[in-house]
Amino acid sequence: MSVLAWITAAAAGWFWVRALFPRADGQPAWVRYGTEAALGVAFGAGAAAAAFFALLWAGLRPPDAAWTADALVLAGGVLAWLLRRRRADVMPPPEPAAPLPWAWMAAVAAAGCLVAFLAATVIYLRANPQGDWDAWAIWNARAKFLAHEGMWRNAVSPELTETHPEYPLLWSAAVARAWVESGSLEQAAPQAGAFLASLALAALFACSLAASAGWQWMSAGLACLFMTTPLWRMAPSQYADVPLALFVLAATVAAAAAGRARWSAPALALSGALASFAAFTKNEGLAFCIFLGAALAAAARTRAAWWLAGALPGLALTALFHALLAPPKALWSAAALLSFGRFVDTLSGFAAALWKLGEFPAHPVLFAAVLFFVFRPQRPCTPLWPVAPALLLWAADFAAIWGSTSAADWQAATAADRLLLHSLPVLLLYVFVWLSRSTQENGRQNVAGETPLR
Amino acid sequence: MKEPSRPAPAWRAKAAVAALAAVSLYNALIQFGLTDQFTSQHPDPYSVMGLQARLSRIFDRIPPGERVGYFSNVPFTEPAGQAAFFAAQYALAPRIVLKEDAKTANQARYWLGIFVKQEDFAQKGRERGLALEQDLGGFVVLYRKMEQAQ
Repeated sequence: MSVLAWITAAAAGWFWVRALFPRADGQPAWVRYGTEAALGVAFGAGAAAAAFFALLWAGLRPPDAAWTADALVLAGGVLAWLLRRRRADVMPPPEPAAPLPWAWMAAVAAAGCLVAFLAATVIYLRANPQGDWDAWAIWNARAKFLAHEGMWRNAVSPELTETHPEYPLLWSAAVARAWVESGSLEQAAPQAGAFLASLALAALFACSLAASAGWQWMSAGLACLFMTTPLWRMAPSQYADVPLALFVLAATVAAAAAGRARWSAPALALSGALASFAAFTKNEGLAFCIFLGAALAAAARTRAAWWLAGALPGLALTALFHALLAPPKALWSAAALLSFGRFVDTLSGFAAALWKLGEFPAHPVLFAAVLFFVFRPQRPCTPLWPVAPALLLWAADFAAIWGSTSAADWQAATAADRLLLHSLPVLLLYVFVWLSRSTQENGRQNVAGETPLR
Repeated sequence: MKEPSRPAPAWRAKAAVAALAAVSLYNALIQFGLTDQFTSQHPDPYSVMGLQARLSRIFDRIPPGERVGYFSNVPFTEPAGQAAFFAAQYALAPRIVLKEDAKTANQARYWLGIFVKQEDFAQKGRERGLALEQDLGGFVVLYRKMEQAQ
């Protein structure tokens, strides 16, 4: 039942995605269904958790809040799907991508990496059902408060000085909802959530890349993504970082799809909702949400109002949480920002984390750079706006550690790799889309005389 | 006049893809091996599930709305001390666990003591005005405030 709660949320989310995400002409069915399924997991888990928490706050008992939240998300999704099933917006086919030589090798590697990644995640989850430190010290501990009748306010009690009661509550609410619906506090609920979020992140990355650049570049990109060491560590950790990376990627993919479908209003609203779930998952998600909204305001102008409409419920919940529930905590200090020593500590911490994103020679940034120099893109990466929020998020993370009230060297050493992980799938996705498009001429000449693989 | 850049030779593209495939697959096997090795050597390294099982015997004795006091002979400044405290909080949630130096800790009727070695647990409690309620084994002890115990 713990697993079923995640599946039902994903199924409810699928109706929303089916109704709002634009279709692409000529897209292989597995790409379309894979994208919809992964986005459904993100939207369903996020919407059901946000609604569950809002209803708890409104005074409902945990079981009533959980089942009502499910019913609302499912009914809303089915209604949206019924209203829009014959009026879906359409994306034009993407620019043809250059064929990648020896792509079968990349495909075999990507498949092998995926199998090893999922197997390692399962092995770790079985041996450590409690997850890693922050899972039982913060995220799942707060989920237990939410799952008990009349006790949810303990999750934001100022007495929990060491358990970060000021952190947003979406992922804890998602776990609590699964616990409430299953009727017991078994570790299977957070385990299933961690596994599903990791699988959805990999699937959304792969399907989005396949949709834009074909299976050859998808294989290369996925193989490169699995070089990311923190992803292997974070996937079974039961932290909120992989779910946040999923929301960041999903919101960006939906916004980019909206752009390709002449700023489709439903897709913009879907992106807004997903970004607002990021905002209610971690404070970094709130920064990302603001950056994506600003990027869309610049790129889509007045159509960005649809994005805001989609984001409004989640953002309102986040704002109310910070204004009315979260105990005040000083996160910034002007004196810290003026400290050159802290700047150096933060810089060295981020540099070390960037180096440790992979284990040499397996490093996602290194291999992205190798492919860049081999294929030598002739055209600039366009459009740039989907990449901007992810890059700005890294800059904001840097500034947050530099100006924080905690020791900068300790924070950078313990958190920088997780912070880099939030944006990395988006950045890798666009690097590979860029490589696939700007090397068309190269590709044609490179593999002249060979049978195109796509 | 700028000369147009020449496309990369086919062998270089093939070599890059081959290297990507080989290195990523090798890395995946390494990561899988490391995970397997770590999990077989250190399952539940902080004994979180073990403490939860131990404390499950007292769940129905302490109402969910209670604050539970906490003390230990492992300083909180050490990772082991922090791990013991957070594991106790996780196991006892939705009850809030308060360290003995917390402002509201003196309101707690029930107290938990976690130790790393055998000591006179009753004496440790008496020093804080607590009566030993139950020795839960594994150097984990439940106390009750003296006036309630009497």
